[in-house]
Amino acid sequence: MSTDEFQQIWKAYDVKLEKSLQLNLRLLQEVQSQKARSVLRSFIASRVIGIVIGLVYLALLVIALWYVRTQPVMAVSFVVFIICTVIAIGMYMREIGVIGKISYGDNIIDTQRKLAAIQGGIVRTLRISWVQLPFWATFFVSNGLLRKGGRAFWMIEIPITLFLTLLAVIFYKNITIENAQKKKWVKGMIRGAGMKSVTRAMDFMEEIEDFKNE
Amino acid sequence: MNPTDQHAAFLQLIQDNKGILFKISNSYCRTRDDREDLMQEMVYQLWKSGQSFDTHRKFSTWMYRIALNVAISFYRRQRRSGLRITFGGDLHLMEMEDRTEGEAEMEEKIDLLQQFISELGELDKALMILYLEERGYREIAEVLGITETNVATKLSRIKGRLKQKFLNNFL
Repeated sequence: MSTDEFQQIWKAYDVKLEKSLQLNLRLLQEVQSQKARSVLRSFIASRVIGIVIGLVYLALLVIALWYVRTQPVMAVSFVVFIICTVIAIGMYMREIGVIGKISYGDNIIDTQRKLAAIQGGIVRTLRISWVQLPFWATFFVSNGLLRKGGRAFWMIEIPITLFLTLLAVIFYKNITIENAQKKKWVKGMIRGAGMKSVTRAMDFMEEIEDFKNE
Repeated sequence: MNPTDQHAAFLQLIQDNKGILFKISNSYCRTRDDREDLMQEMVYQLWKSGQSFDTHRKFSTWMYRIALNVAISFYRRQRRSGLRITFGGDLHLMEMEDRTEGEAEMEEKIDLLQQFISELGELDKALMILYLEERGYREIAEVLGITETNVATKLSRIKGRLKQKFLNNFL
């Protein structure tokens, strides 16, 4: 069988389609009037929702900080939460900016690489969120607790804080887009966090590179 | 061009190219609902990107880029809910009651070709569709963003596999 015969079969397919298909023009007009939702638009919507929730959370953190401003350990913990939240909101805003610049009219490799990178961007946000981990063990430590906690308190508080600090360092160093492809436990963690789309995006990124370099 | 003319021109454009849009939908989606969603998405993106089309560039290259980029993006994400616009016509080939032996064999070949395409990776699928659409190596390279040499190497490998599949089925 000559390979050009495949193109002949494809042409025959065209003829059959021409006979059997009719486009509904009224419905095409609905698409034009932009009632349809696009993939990118729904992606932007998810980011906007993330930003709104982030801003509400940020406002609550600022209020909490105001109330604990005279209690140094609690205040430092809330400042760290605030910084991490601001960075996460900033990352989401940046992603919206990047999505706005993506054009489906560019070549497939470039466009798909950008889209996969954006989907993988959530890994960076996840990474930042680990920085706050040790402070979940300190945000409730008031001046009173510092003075009256006693030996038992410190024997529990110090090991837990040190353990969470160690975890935060390990996770911050290892949860990267590159490791999502290289290390199974990182991939497992991302997948476990319900972000299958991220691991799929990472797998596709690898496929793009193979496709380009083969 | 006033908005009414623009509107009419776009409808004509979609009519003229509906075959390729349906073929891309068929190649990237398994279910009818997904195919309809993808058609909707491709038409929407073509409409949205229409204003930014540079008339000095080749129209087909631009259209293939948009349609295939949308198809690949769509393929990789889970189905979403929401408004679904139904296009007339089933994307499956119609059963022809009085078809000849030759027509039946051709339908069998079309099915096999479709099956082969559906088994390819997302990017190989795009490459194969462009080849079957009789696009030149240069245009395929432009649409995909790879070199012409790369296009030739990959196509030769895929066509070799396809040829083998046909030999196994029709000999």
